[in-house]
Amino acid sequence: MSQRVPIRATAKMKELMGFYYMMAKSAENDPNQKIAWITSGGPVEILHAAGVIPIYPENVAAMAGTMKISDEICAIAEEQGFSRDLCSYARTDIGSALSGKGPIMGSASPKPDLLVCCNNICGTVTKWYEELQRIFNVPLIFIDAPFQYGIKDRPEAIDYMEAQLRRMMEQVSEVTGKPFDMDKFMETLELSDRAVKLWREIQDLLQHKPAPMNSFDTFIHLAPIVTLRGTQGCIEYYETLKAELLERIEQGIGTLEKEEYRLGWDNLPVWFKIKFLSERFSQHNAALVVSTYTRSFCYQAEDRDISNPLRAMSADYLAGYINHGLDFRERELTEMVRDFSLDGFVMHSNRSCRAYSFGQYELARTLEDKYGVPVLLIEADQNDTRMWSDEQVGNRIDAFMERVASKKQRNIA
Amino acid sequence: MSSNIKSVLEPFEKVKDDLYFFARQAKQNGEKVAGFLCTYSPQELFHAGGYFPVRVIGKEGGTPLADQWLQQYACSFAKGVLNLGLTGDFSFLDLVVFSHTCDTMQNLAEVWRRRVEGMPIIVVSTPNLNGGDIALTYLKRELTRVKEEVEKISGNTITDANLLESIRIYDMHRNNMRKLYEIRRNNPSLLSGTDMFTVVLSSMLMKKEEHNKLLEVLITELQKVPSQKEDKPRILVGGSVCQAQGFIQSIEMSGAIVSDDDLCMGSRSYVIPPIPQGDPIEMLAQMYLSRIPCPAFYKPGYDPAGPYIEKIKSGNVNGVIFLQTKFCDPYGFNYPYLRKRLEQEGIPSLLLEVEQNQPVPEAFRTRVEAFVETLIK
Amino acid sequence: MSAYYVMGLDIGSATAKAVLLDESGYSLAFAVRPTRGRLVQSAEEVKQEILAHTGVSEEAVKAIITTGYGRDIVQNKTKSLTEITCHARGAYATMPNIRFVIDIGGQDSKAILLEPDGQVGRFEMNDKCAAGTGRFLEVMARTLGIHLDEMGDMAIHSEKYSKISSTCTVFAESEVISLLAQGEEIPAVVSGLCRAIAERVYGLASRVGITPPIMMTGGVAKNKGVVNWLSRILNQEMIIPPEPQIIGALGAGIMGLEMIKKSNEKMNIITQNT
Repeated sequence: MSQRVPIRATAKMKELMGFYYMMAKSAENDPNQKIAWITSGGPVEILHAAGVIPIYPENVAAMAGTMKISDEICAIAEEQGFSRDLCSYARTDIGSALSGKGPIMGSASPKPDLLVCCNNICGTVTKWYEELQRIFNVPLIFIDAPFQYGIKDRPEAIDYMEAQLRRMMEQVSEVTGKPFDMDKFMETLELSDRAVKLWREIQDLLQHKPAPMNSFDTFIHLAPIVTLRGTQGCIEYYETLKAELLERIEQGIGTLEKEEYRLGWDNLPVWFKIKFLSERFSQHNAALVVSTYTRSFCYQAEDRDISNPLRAMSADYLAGYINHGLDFRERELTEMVRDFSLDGFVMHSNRSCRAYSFGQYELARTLEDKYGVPVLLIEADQNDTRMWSDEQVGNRIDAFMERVASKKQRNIA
Repeated sequence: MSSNIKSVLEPFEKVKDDLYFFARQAKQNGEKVAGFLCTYSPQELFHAGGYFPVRVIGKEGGTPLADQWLQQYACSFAKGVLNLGLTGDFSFLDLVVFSHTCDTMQNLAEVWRRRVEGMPIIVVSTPNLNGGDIALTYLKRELTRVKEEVEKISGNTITDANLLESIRIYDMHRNNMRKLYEIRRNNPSLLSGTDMFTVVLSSMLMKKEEHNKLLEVLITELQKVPSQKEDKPRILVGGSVCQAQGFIQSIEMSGAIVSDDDLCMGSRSYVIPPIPQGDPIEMLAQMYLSRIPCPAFYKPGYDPAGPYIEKIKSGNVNGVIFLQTKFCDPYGFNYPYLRKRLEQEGIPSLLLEVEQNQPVPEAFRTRVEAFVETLIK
Repeated sequence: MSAYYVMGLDIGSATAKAVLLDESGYSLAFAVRPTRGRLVQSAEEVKQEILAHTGVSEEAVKAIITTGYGRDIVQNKTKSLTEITCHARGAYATMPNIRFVIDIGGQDSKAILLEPDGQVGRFEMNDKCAAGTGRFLEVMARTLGIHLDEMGDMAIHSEKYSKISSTCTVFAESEVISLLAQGEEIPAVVSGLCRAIAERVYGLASRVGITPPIMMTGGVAKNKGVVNWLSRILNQEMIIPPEPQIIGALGAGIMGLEMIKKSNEKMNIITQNT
């Protein structure tokens, strides 16, 4: 392959996301259309079933990051006393809520009638949503998803989730003023289930050599599964993308001129440096083909009871990568190394995300010592450019790739 | 301070030189010691299971061993205790108990489990939703599970009678500590903040039975002293510092008196409304959910500024100093709101970022002195 | 007389280093010059200096391998490689049983684990901050009003050391000032500073997994105070090569030599086949 062939579906996704944000924005002035702000790991199916439009502050913050306006928005929150040591998504979002500045058609997200916070991604969201509640003075639904220290999820935690989700239905219907539609909910769960499975299949297609797209693409194509899971549009989009990837596989189209090395990525992307990182790894003929981050949006519980959809949902919302301890994470990482034929793993030690990052040093050492997988740690931040240096990171990538290359040559010889 | 009170304070002060003086003493007598990292660990359960529960605390100095496993942006408390775990300083502990609070503690428990050798650990999955029947049901099941785990590890059966007795002792202790706080709120000069924090520190490192006896004597002695007029500005210390002693001392050297606090290793853990006698597990669950919540938790309808304003008003506090541990998220998110509310109440406040494993820096003293100067009218 | 020569150029933030090797890998000469922010110019100067000194013509140099922060700025290079690869290779060439390299340069410090065959294993570099680097000592020397080169001797002759808790350059500076205000002796402060660097580097090294024998490279390896503290804290002997500063340039040169030999082999195979 000589020329980089762009993914056609990207245009369709931009259209889909543009439409979604336009619809949300116009709903702001419609008193009958309720809007909820929700965490990325939140049980959004309940909102869709109740006809509430979900807005994802994390997604909006990431957009601000890629548009490189997050620093100035963070500064607004910092002026109010939010320390620079706090999560840069939270600072971006709070700064945006306080000032009205944001990446959606030049302004902030449409104001919420309801807040939904699920702590299955981190404890920071608890604090972040408390602050949003103080700013907007609207109801906050808090779903506590106990962190699972062991590999097997605890039944009492699933019961706890189920009880909370049932209560959430009541709370949501108080906001909408309409009874909760159970049939619509079951339909939504099924749509969500199909989207989640498609998203997993799409990522698994990257096991193919050469990978038909790379993780920098999946970071971008992640938006619909985060914001639109539970809708028909989401499924249609991923079916289109999947068909295109299958076509690329058939034609042997990859994303690099020559895919010599395959790497995994851990933690959130560095949103404002996607291009830099993508180019730097490309220079070394290295493709990032799997990430724990994009896979986080397709976790389903291991022994889920499909005859009881609400119960299965309760288990699924506990089942994510970062809601689990290090034994689980070790297992996931090594499976990725095996299934995606990885030559190494890149770990973004993300200053904003203590939940994701603490434990990486331990996992890195385990991957190296127990499994012989080279690991590169990049100290950075998902949204705060002030933590970044092109020079330093570039230098580390070069050194790491020199190491990966010499290891691979030796193994061949 | 009367010489009586001075001599009453002596036994508390043993922990100043050697934090684990009493723990080691107990070990020599063949007793088992459990270390807990958080005031949300249900110590009553471990007490009833035959353990002497002591708080796990770091010490001054670098944390080179912990730096291997935790990033530069991990808080100094997590690094400090992990470092001592790795050097073997805690090898005298028979058990270490973590509670699920913030992201840092969560991952610290995981790193500890995989890298610190020599003792089993138990993680209590404290619900981060505080309040309501749903959380209560979950916590009861979790505490039952923990109880069974303690029984398995210790080989001791925990009967309801044992557990009720442990709850009684701990309740009495909380009552005594509350009384002491109340005395100081009205009359802070009777006992300096520095001495008060020695008492607080020792409360986590001594047997509650012993501590109760000493507290009762101290309270009786303090009640004998006629109230004095005090013209030093009264400071309330808030924030996330666990080892507050050095900082409190430094604040008091600047001419103020620390008359109250809103610290977890301080007044917060003693404020629990009375729980009706009943099933001990239910009682424990109720108690832990009705506390002033850890800032990492969500409690519907709770206003974090509430306890501050109440204490400021009832104790005639002149100013607030926040001792914020660097990289502590839960408190970091509360700060802007607290500052705003205090401003609205006309209470001056000062934010100081601190590292728990370092001596009080020179800049800290300067800033505190300047702040106290503004309070002296 | 060698048929050809190879040059290794290490363009660091503080100094530019050059090493010239003959075809057998024998190091003919080396040169070191401060960069003072003029990377391109100093690279050229150090290159010309070594050529003039040895009398080797520029045409006889078959490969120039560059490394260091300025490695990509240098013109007419054959290839550039990172300091990690070059320091490891240089250390291995100096002493083949070396398993671990600690390099403390002007602006960064690194710890590299070497596989038994000299290949790079796990490595770590300091984060975006001057703590644990030569720059830290430079700033402190200025604060104390002493010369950078005096620090090592001062530290090892001081029985006492001050406790410096902050490794942040800015905070440590104010800590040093308040220590002096409290009447601390300068040598004790210097020893404390060397210890602070050593502790910081220990954190880096332990994350990689300390495996002796350990070689220390980079300019700071000449500071006996830091070396002394490092060997105490790591409880290991630090092997210091005669010219610790040029190990990266040496490694670069050797990598160049290997490249030439490899392509010659390929050429031979092709000629034999035809």
